[in-house]
Amino acid sequence: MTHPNEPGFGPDPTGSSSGDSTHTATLAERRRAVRSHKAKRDLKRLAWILLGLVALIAFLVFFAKRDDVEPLVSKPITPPAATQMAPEKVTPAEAKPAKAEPEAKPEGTYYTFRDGDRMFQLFGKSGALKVQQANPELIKDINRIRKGDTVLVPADVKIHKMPAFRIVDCSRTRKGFCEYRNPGGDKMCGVRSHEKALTSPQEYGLTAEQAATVMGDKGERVLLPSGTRLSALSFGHGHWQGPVVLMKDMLAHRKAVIGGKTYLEFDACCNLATMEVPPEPVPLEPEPIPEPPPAPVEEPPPVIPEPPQEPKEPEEGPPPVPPLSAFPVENELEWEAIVGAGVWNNGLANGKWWYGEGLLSVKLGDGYSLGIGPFYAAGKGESETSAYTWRESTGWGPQVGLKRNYRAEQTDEFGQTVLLPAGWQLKARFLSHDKVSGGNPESGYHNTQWGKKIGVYGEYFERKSLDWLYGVSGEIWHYYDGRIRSTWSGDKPQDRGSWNANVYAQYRINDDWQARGIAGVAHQNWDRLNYLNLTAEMRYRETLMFGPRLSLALNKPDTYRDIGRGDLTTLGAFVRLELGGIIRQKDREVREESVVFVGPTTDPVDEGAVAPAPMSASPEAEGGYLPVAYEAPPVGAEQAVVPATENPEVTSSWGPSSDSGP
Amino acid sequence: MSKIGWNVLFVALLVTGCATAPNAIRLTDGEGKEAKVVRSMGIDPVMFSGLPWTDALKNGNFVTVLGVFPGTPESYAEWDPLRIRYQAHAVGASGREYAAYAVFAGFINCVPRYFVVVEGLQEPLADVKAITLSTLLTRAYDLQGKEVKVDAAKLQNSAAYRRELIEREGTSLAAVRPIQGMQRAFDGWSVYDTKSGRIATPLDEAKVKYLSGINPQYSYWEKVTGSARASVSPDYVSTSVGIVFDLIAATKVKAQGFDYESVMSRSQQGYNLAVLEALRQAGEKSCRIAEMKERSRP
Repeated sequence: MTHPNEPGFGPDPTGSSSGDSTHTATLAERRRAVRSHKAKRDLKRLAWILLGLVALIAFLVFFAKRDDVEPLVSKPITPPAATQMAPEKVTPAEAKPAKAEPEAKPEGTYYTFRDGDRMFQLFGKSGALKVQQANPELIKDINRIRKGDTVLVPADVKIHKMPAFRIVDCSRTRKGFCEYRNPGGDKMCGVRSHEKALTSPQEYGLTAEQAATVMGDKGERVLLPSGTRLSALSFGHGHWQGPVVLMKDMLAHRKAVIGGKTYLEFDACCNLATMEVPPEPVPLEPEPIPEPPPAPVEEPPPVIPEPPQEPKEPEEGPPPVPPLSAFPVENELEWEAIVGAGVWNNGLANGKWWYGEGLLSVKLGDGYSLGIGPFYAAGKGESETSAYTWRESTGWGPQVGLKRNYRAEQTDEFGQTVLLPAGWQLKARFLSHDKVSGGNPESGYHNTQWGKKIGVYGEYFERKSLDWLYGVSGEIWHYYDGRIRSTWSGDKPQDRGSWNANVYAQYRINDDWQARGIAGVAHQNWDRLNYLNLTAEMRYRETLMFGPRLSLALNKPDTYRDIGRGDLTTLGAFVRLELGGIIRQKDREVREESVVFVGPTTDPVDEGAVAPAPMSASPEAEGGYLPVAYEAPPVGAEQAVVPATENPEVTSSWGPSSDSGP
Repeated sequence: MSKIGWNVLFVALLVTGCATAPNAIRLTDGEGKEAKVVRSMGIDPVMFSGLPWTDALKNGNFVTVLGVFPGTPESYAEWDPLRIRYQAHAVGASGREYAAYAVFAGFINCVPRYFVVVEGLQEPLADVKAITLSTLLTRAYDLQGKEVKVDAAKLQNSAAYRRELIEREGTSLAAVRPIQGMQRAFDGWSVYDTKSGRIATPLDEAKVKYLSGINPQYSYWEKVTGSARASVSPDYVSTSVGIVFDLIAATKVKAQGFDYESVMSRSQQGYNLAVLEALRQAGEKSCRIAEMKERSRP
């Protein structure tokens, strides 16, 4: 958005379009005035250049240091072996086949077995036999391979790669690669009709006859070993379209083969599935129960008989919970606020600016939100060639905003698809009392201009990786209904409209520092000046934000025909300190210091503590359960509610006396 | 006072005092000024790191029974690896109310469970019934883990309603398994003074301090402290505008305590899930061992 630090944000500081005394001065006088301020101006420029250099050096230093900093996510996280889907290929030069035969330059590659690997799946039927022949010492039984063994894969054997792991929002798409880890977690048994699932075009799309075939045949019982790939899976509340890998051995019935696909029904959950390759029946012998490890660490607790469950009443769902805040629907509202301030300086004038805006939005779902809020901007400046000064303010005005935040698919440095934040927003603003007033006390000149402004602001951003974020933004202001009151009758209201468009990129240098670069063009209607704006912003721990800003004039309108282009170049800077993080850190320290260790519960020094009751007052009391010294009130004897003051067990250090309330 | 002075005062108020008052929910009886406070239940996270070290607990004047950790999303949302205590309450047939606490016991017999400690009893009487409650007392469960309907406002303000509710929906202490040895377990715990009261906890000092350091953002000033940007710029106008925005924005900040409506970071959610899953697997393993032992008996 345009901030009022644009050169000439106020009235034309040269006074060329106003009735200022400098307007009536001759060109020679104005040039003399400019020259008289040259030394002062050069000094300020030098200061700004130094500031820019310091910022640049800081940027370079932190950028250089970044290599020393362990980035948050710069390396692929090594998943457990069971979830590494891409077979690991090792070149012969890298492999260390300690157990392999010492052959010189074997033809082929080496492969290291992992959890879940199956010979036939990896190499195919013929390939598996070839691999076994090539590694007779390591693979004596083709069905028994050991994790970690590195084997030679002959050159003519192809390793069937599993699909690369693709991160998708599974709950929404229910497509893509999936692992089936929790059989029975969402059962079809008694929840969903098989017939509907089989005939649904979204699931299997079978005809009624085909569905009847699948449902009518009990089928052969087969064991699907861990690692088996399914092509689709239906469960209690949905359907998964895409490769599904079983992560544990499961029993199923092979129901039918239709269209080259084998239809299966799992024993444990009645879930339906299809697979491309027919499963081979596995003799189902009762598996021996493995002997439990000797002397388990802890004695398992005794089986506790649960009291009989009362017959369940029809569930009506939990009652509505009263809201915890003054707002009726707490989750549906969000608030954002932005403030900023800065200074600027060019060859003709210098000034300050500040602004603030807020937006209270209602979430509409799917990332959309619509909101309203206030907008305010103001500034002041002074000419460097005369005593002319001015102040300006947009006044408080309303704005309406529509925005959407969502997650877009991006490809990370490992070639994986990841979901990262993206969004856009549109804001419309109305300022009914835009005001500029200025004057020169030496000449007695004074003017005040009022008008109205309508503005539109738009922004789009995408995070391309964990380190980089890119965005574009633009803003346009239309000015109308301008009026002026001036000591010079020739003054006319200026058109105070403007527009700008920017692109920006933000880079995370390390955990503490981020840098943002902004480049854009801007146009201001009152003097028809076009600018190229360049801004660098450094952000330290979201606490300190600062940076320089440079505006280069792209043209030189007639208004400035007697002035060098260099004088239209504007240098600016902004700084903002956010103390929220420091306050929260201090608050945490105060809270932590409020904890004082008193001693162990058995410590007699404990103020007010009474020695615990004897644990073994009698053999029956072993274990601390003391059914003695209890005076049970006769049933029905107590009818009145016992208030806390009469109930010493309740009024304790935990009771009202210790509560001071917020 | 100058505007800068007001700003400094505002920041100073945030840093000292105002934002650190303890939070508690009171069980009362009666209305208005006539209301009597029956029980005060702290809701600061540090207060859930242990049990309030009351005379009853010191003296062994309590009973412990086994309850089921409710399987509702709200209950799991309130679970935390460092949270020892959960809310509970008990009422006798006579209407007498007993302070009760639920202590997470892990997975026993394949099911997540509580030890429900009821003060003021030496024996799990049949006519004393108990329920467990969500952190802010907005949901209630019997000791089998079944959710029961509750009017949260009445629950907090009416002893008659509490008696009627717990009598109707609560679980008799005699109907569930008693637990022995709780007093012995307490002997290994430590006592800490916190700003909200004295607690006994099995956690070490660092963990108690960590929990104490959490700003739960229940009260308005806690929300301000927890959310304010407190932006200071060279110009007092934008500084003041920023502070006004902070004060307005604080009204919409969600709490960060242990109640199920609080928010937590996704990394914390992931950590909690990982710990709970490890507990579940350990529980499942011991469950299988028990089953195998049972089968192998002649």
